[in-house]
Amino acid sequence: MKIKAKMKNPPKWPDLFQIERNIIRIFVGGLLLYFFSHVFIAFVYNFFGGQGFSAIALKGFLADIDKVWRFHIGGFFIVLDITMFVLMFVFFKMGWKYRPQLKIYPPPSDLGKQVKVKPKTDPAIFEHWKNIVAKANTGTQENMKSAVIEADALLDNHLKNLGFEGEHLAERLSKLNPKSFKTLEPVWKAHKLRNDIVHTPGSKITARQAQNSLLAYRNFFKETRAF
Amino acid sequence: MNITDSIGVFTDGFSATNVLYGFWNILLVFLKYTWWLWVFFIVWKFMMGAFFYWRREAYRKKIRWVVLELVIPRLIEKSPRLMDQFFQALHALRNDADHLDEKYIDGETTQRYSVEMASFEGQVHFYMRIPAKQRDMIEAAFLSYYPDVELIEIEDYMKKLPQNITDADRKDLDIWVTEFYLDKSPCLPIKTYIQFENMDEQHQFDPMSTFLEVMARVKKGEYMGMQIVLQPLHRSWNYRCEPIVEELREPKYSNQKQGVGDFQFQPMMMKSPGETDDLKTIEQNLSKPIFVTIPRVIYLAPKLNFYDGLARRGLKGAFNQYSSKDMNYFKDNVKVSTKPGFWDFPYVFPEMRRRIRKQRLLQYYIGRAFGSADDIGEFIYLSHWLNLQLHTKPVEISTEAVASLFHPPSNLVLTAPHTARSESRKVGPSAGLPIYGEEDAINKFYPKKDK
Repeated sequence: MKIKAKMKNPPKWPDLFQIERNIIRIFVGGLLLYFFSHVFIAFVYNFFGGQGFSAIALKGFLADIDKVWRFHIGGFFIVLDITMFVLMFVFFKMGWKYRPQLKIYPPPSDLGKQVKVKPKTDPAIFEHWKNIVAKANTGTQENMKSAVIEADALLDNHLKNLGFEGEHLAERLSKLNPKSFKTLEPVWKAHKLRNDIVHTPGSKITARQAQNSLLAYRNFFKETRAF
Repeated sequence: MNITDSIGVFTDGFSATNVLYGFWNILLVFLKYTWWLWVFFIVWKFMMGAFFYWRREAYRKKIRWVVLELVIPRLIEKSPRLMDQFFQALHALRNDADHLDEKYIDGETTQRYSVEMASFEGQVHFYMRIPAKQRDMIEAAFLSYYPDVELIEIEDYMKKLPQNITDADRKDLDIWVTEFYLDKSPCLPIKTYIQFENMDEQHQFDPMSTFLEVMARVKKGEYMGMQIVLQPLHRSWNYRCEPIVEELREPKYSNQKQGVGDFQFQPMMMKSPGETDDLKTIEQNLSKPIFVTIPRVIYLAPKLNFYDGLARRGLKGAFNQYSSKDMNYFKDNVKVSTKPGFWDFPYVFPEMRRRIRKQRLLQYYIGRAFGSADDIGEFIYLSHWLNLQLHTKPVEISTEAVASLFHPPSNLVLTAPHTARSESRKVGPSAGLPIYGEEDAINKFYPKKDK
């Protein structure tokens, strides 16, 4: 179906409140009154002020109107323009915080919420670590197991000191961002091994497994600058 | 200063150059005497645009919102006509600034509602976002038409989605969003539930079933959503269509003249049944209150198996149900959607333009924003140097059309595999049951009022 007629445009004037319309009327009316009263005064002053209707009187009359229009009314508007120009920037500044986040690379929404790790060197950890390594070096099954368990507990304690909340180590580790820690992945494996040791009765680990998991813990301690 | 001095024609004779100079000088003189007036109007426009954006957004930010989930029962033997009635009741809640202080200090504007469908990994849900203050009224209106549907207040599910494009990147998700607009004049209605209804049971059809079927196809880890942001328009909007109705009402005359000499006349032509029907449909549409809306659809999926064809073509098809050839139809607003390439204006940085569009529409989707650019303030605030806010097209449709786009699926729709339904029928207690206890004890059973 083809329709030629166009929609009516809504009139702007009725959108304004009565009081706004009156303000506009008074503003425009006042300006016009000011201008035409000055025109009248200039007319009387120039033409009935002794000169009569002559070219000189006309010139003076035009000059007076020119002055009223350009300097009185124009000056008023120029002051208004400058004020409004300043206000415009003020309003833009006030409204800017309500603007949606229009960025090509916006910051992630959980930026402030992520726990930041402050590197903290603790000599006690290193002392403890030496004991663990010495224990693991004996090579017996029991000692290797307890070394891994102790290293895990040490890491748990360390993370607790750094301010990570959670029920157990896995919960604390999951709060770390895997992208910012290179050595986090092996620690997870080591932690799984430790869980196997603790929860499976009669489980055995090889020397290689113990070495790998201890290395993982050591690298993580080094990355977090515990020693 | 003598005006005639600067006008070349009168002083230097009549020639083409002098005429041009003359006009140029007249323009200069005109501007010299009135430039401050034009500056006043321009700066006024910008200043008030910024001012109203600031105040109105502050007002919108203060509103407390409630997200209600519509838990649909096993069977709704009701036509969308009831939803039409509900939207008419919703339209009556339209608010606007009445006084100077409300307009300039509070920045009161018309509140926007949102009706939504969302599919989490194939499980389709229906939602409604409303201001907390109007919750009682809206619930009363809704439950009086759909007493079996449960309205449950939930936490805003938008918090589960990535909040911006960087979040989506980190979760390895890709986004496709678009908006729909009406291609022809908004006075022409789309196909509504009245055309889908039929006395014959075999020919009845509910367009919601297509939406449900498309949304239920969403696989694991994916998300698809549709939202219709609604803003009630003033009743006076309908009068804008008067010229169109007038044109259709006018009798048509045949081109061939009949008669002889002074008695020649053009015979009037009968209106075809189709034309009469069209006029009837248009007038019926205009007799109902109008909402200005933005239908927006989104599809989120892991980058690995991201295929937006399902969303793009499926949902486009679902919206296409409402198109009728000689009336109006929805179109996919490709100028705002998230697939611009180097072949689109301004031909540079296609990847960055894609990103900013995804970011913009994701923000709009999560905030149920409108994003129109009716005034200069909105245009400046909502523009980015790579993506100006120019192409959003709000859709003006009547309650009838809104009800056809969104209503609880009737018994014609197969809902069982796709939605979580409430399985039992809800009936209130009969009136006049004895209540034991003090008067105050009843108060705790009333819904909590917001302070």
